[in-house]
Amino acid sequence: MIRLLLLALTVHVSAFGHAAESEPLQLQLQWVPQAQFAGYYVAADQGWYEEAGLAVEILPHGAAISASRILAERRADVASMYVTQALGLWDQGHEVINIAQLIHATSLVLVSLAERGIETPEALDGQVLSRWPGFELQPEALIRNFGIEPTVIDQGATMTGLLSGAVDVAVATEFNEMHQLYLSGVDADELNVIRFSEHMPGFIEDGLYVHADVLAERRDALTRFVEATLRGWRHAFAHPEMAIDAVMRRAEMASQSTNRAHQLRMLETLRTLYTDVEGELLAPSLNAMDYEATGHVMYQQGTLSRPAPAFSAFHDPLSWPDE
Amino acid sequence: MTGARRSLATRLALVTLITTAVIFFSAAGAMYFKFRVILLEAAETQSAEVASATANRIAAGLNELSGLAHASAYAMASRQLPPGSDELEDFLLAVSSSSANIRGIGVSYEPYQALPDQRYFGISAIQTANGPVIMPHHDDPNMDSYTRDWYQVPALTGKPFWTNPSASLFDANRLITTFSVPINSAAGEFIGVTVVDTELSTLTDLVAEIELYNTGFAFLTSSNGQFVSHPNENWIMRESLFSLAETLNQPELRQLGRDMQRLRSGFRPLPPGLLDVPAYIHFVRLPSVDWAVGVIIPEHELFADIHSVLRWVATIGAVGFLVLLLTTIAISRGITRPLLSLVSSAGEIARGNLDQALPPPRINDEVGELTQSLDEMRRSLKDYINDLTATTAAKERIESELKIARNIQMSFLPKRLDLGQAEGLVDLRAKLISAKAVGGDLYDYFIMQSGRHLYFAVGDVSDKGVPAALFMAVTKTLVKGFAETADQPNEILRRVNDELAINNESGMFVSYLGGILDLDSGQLQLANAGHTPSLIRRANGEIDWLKLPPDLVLGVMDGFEFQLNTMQLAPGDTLMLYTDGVTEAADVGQRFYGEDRLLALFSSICTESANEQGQDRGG
Repeated sequence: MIRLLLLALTVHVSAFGHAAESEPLQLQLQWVPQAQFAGYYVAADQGWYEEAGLAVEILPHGAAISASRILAERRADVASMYVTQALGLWDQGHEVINIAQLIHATSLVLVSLAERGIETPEALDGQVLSRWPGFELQPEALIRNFGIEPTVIDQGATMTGLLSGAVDVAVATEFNEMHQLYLSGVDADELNVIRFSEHMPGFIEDGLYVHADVLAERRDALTRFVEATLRGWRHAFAHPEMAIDAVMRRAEMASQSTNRAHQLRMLETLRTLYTDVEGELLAPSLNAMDYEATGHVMYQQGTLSRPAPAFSAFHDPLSWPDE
Repeated sequence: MTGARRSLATRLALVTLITTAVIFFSAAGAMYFKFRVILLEAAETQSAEVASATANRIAAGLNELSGLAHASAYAMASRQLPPGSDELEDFLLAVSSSSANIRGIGVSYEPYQALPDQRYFGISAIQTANGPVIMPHHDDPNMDSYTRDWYQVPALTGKPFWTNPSASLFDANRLITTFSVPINSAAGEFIGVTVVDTELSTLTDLVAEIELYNTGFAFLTSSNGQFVSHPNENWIMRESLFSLAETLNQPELRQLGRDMQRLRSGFRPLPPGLLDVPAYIHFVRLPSVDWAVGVIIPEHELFADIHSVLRWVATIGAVGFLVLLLTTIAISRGITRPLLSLVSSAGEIARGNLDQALPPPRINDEVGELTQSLDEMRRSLKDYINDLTATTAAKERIESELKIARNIQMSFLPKRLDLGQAEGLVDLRAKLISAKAVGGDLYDYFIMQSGRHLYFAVGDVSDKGVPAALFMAVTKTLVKGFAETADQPNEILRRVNDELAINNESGMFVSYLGGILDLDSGQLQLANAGHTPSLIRRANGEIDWLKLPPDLVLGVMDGFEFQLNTMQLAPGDTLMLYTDGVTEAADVGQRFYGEDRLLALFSSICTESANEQGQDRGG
C-alpha cells in the first residue's frame, strides 16, 4: 500500500517536473561495492534519482571491471574514475568530460611496517616497493622527484605482501587498505605512512565523467543526476549506519566479503575527503591546478603521448560555480 | 524504655542469625572460590587439550599437503618434468589423486621461464566429480598471477607460504587455502612456484565438530583474525575479531585477536562480543601456519556443578537458618517469659505493693536466682518499711513531746516586764532562740519585793534538751524563791548553787550571770557564775566588755561563795547580756559568730531602744 502510494507520488512529481517517463541513465562505478560509493546507493535507495526524473541503473562493478573501458566502449552513460584514467581515455581519443569532482585530494599513501623505519620518501631508497598496476604514476613521480631507487614491483589485491615481509613498502588508500590493515590486527603505531598529498599536487580521485556528445545532448538530465548524487552523499554522511546498510546489502549481493566495521571506517575517512572543516560537502568542481599538475606529470612520464587537453575542455562544472 | 527498643528475644535471634550467616557465607564463599579455581584449572586443562588436539589435527592435514608440495617442488626443480610435457601433466594428476585433502595441484613459472615466447605459463590438476583433470592457467590481465599472494610471497621471500583462506572461484561457499613452495633450479635460481589447493571444509569440520560441555564451541581464525570456522556462518570470511571489536567497541576483543596472532596459546575470560554470556576462551596458534584455534566454554556450564552444589548449600542453609531462628526464639522466649513476669512483679514492688509474693521459679537457673533475690529484696523492703513506719511514729511522738517541753520551757521565761511604779526608768528586752527544740539557755527578770529593784539574769545549762530545760526550770525556780529572802545577787547564787549541787546526779551545771539594779540610785550589783562577759555602753558612747571575776558555775560544788560586784549605772547606759550560744553559733563553714562581730553589732544598735535591739538581725 505504502509502496503504491510512493509510486503514485513519484509519478505525480515526474509529471509536473519533467517528462512523464523517467529518463534512463547507466552509471559505472570503478571498484567493488563498498562505502566509496555510498552516496550513489543512498540516492538510489531514497528514490532521489527517480524524483529527478531519472531511471538510474548502477551497473555491476568490481575489481575485474574497468570503468574507464566501459565508458570508452559507451556501455555506460556516466562513469566514476580518477583524473588519470580520464586523461588516459583522452589520450586514446575519447573526449570524456569531468562533470563533477567529488574527492578533491589523493588518498594514496605508501605504507610500511614501523620497525623498518621508513618515514620519509628518501628512506624508500633501496627498498622493495609494490604498487598496483594502473597506479604507477604517483610512485614514479615521487621516485623521480626525490631521486631515489627502490625496487618497484606489481602489487596484488591484498596487503599480504607487506605483512608477510615480501615487500618493504606498499601503496594503499587511506579509506580502504589502511583500515584493512587495522582490521587485520595491525595498530596504527605499528605502521609508517607516507602521504602522496604531502609531497605533490594533483592525482585527485573520484570524479564523474561523460562523453562530450552525451553531455551536449543530456546536460539537464546529468545536472539532475549530479544534484541527486550530492544529496545522496550528504545523507550518507548524516546517517552513516543507514548508508552502511545500503553498502552491505550491495556487497552481499556481489558476494563481496566485508564487514560493517571496515565500511564504517571507510565512510568516515571519505567524509574527510568529501567535506570541508564544517562538514559541508565541497563544491563538485575540479581544481585547475590539481588537474594541470596531474596532466603535466602524466605527459612528462610518457603516460600521455601528447599534452593533456585544456582545463576548460576537460571540466564542465554544469551549474556549479568554478572555484 | 523507649518505643524503639528491641526485645531481648529479637536481639538474641538477630545476633545469632547474623553471626551464623557471616560464618556460613564466609565458608560457602571460600568453598565456592576454591572450587571455582579448581574447576577453572580443570577447564583450562581440558580446553587446552581440545584446542591443541584440534590444532594438531589441522596442522597434520596441512602438513600432509605441505609435504606433497615440497616433494613436488623438488621434482619440478629436477627438470625431469619440463613445462608443457606429458610427464608434468601425469605427475600433477597422480599427486592430486594421492590425498583426499588435495583439491588441486599446479605449477606456475616465472615470465618466459617455461616457454621463451610465452610470458606466463601455469598448469594445474584439479579434482572434479569425475576425477582429476588438467587445467592450464590463462594469462588474465585483470588477475595477474604474479601479483597473487600465493606466487608473490614465495617468489620474494624464497619461503613456502600458506595463503589466507578465500572463497573458491567456482563456489563462494567453499573455502580454499593454498600452500605454495618456491621452485629453485639446480643453480639456485628461482624459477616458479608449486601450489597445492585444499578445501578447508575437512579441516574446519574438525573445528565445527568440537563440543565442550553443552554449548561450548571452537572457532578458527586466519592470520588476519578473520573467522575461517565459526558456528555463526555469517561471520565466516566476513568478520574478524578486529572488525567485531570495532563494531562492538570492545578493545579487549582486539587485544584477544592480537594475542591470537602473536602468542602460542592463552586462557582467559572471553571479552564481551563473541558470546552473550560470560565465558572463557583457550586459544592455540597452529604450529605451521599463523592461524589460531579458539575454544570457548560458557562460564555457567563450566561452573554448573558448583552452582548445583551451591544451590544445595543454599537450600540447606535456608532451612538451617529457619530452624535456628525458631530455636533461638524458643530459647529466648524461655528466658524472657519469667523475666517479663519478674518485670511485672518489680513494677508492682515499685508501685509499693510488697505483699504479693513472686511466683516460684520453675528452673533453678540465673533467672530463678534473680527471682529469689528479688523476692528477698521485696521481703527486706517490706520489713524495712514496717520498721520505718514504727520509727517515724515514735519520732513524731517524741517531737510532739519535745514541742510540749519547749512550750513548757518557754512558759517559764518571763514574757514582758511589769515594772509597776518603776515604769519608764528602765528599758529591757530579752529573747531566746534555741538551737534544739528544747534548749538549756535561760533568761530571767522581775521586780523584787521592794518594788524598787530589778532582778535580771542570763544562764546557760551545760547540756541541751529536755534534761537541760528541767535543770534550767529548777535553777529559775530556785532563783525566784531565794530572791524573796536575799537582796544581793551573790547571796542568791550561793543558795541556788548549794541547792543544785546537792543530789546533782546528772552532773549538769549552769553558767549564770545575775544582777540587781537599784532603779532609784542606778547602783548595779552583779554576781557571775562562770558566764560570758557582758557588753556595756556608757551614756558618753564608751563601749566596753564588762569583765567580772568568773567564779564557778552553779551546781558543781556546794558551799561556794560568789563575789559581789557593784557598779554605778548612769541614765542612758546600755547593758547587753548573752550566752555563748550567740558567739559560738557556727555558720555553714564552721566559723563562729565571734565576740568581735557581736561587739560590732552592739556598737551599731546600742543607741536604739531595747525593743528595737531585740529585732532579728541578719548575718
